[in-house]
Amino acid sequence: MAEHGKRFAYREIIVIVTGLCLLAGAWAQGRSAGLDKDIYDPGKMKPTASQTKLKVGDAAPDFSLPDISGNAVKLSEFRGKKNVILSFIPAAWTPVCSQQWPGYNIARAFFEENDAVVLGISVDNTPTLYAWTNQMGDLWFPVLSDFWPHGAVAQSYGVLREDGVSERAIFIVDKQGTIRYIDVHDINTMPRLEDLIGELKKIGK
Amino acid sequence: MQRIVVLLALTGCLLGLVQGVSLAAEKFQVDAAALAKLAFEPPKTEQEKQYLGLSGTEKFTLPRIKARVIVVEVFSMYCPICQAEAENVNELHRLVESDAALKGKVKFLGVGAGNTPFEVNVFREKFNVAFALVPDDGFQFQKVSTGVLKTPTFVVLSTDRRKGLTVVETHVGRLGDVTKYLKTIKKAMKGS
Repeated sequence: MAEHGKRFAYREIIVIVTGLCLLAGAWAQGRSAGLDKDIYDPGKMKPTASQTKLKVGDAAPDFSLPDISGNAVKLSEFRGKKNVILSFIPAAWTPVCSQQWPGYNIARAFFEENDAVVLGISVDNTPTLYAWTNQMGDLWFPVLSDFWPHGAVAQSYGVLREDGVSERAIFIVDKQGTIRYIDVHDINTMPRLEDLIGELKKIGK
Repeated sequence: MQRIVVLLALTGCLLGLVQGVSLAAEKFQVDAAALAKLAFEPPKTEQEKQYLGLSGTEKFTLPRIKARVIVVEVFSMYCPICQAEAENVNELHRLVESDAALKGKVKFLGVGAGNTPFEVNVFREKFNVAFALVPDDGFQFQKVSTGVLKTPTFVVLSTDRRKGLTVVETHVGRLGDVTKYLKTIKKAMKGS
């Protein structure tokens, strides 16, 4: 009986040591794959994986979502006041997303010249978004969590992908609440800032 | 039998570890000869062109820059670390410009990895960058490098008519104390 116990312990040690070593190897490789030590690289993804039914000229579906300070932000609040850029990003802590909003952050003047505000939307929960956006500097626009019911707003815009993240999509909604521009972008690449600003200029104040 | 299994397992682990660590530590290096052949879009403003000693609207290569030492910063307008570092790099540039031994001989070139001319210009205006910035929308810089190109990356290059472009130092990430980095630039000047 005692011998049996000893053999069992021996086997357990083998399993534990092997597991630990494998984990260590995987950790070291994971760090090299990303652009930065905290960024998870999902590799190349299918460019788009949903089909929006919305089109330019449609009324933008209204919604209310919590921002990372806990305030509810409602799209229709901006009616008659601001053009709104809805910037859906697939997920926090991934390569392109981690730079898209910092870009909009330093381009604030271009948005303001066109009487526009950005609403950043992600299906991540609020604590994740809070930690992630903290390393972007002080964002001048709200970041909204479309976590629960999961991705409901992304779904209503037809940009929720089959795996539960959203597309990298931009909708411009004018002051009347009408959709004026839709870009369901290749999830792997950055939408060009000048394209967005150009579209905003067309709408004007 | 069990000992053999343990030995095999340990060997496998060790191999995994070594491979992982070596991948993680794959050093970023620039092939200076290949970099010298890359053609970049000229900077947008006349002031920047004059600074680099360029004229016209045609693409240019690094050896055409009028300088003994070139400090390249590979950045992106979208990169929050580059944004946070911008004032520090401006300070380094000011130190160089206020040093009679370096002014006119050391030139700074920002290369906007994956950026369009418009995006590069947003960065220039936001941070009042006084040196030259050019776009690299096609990630050319990555193609002349080994290891993953991260932003910001700083490369100090020595220019020499006989030896051609050579890399003196490469630094990945924020610079920290720029007075220390100024020493690297001075060292490059001595060697050039």
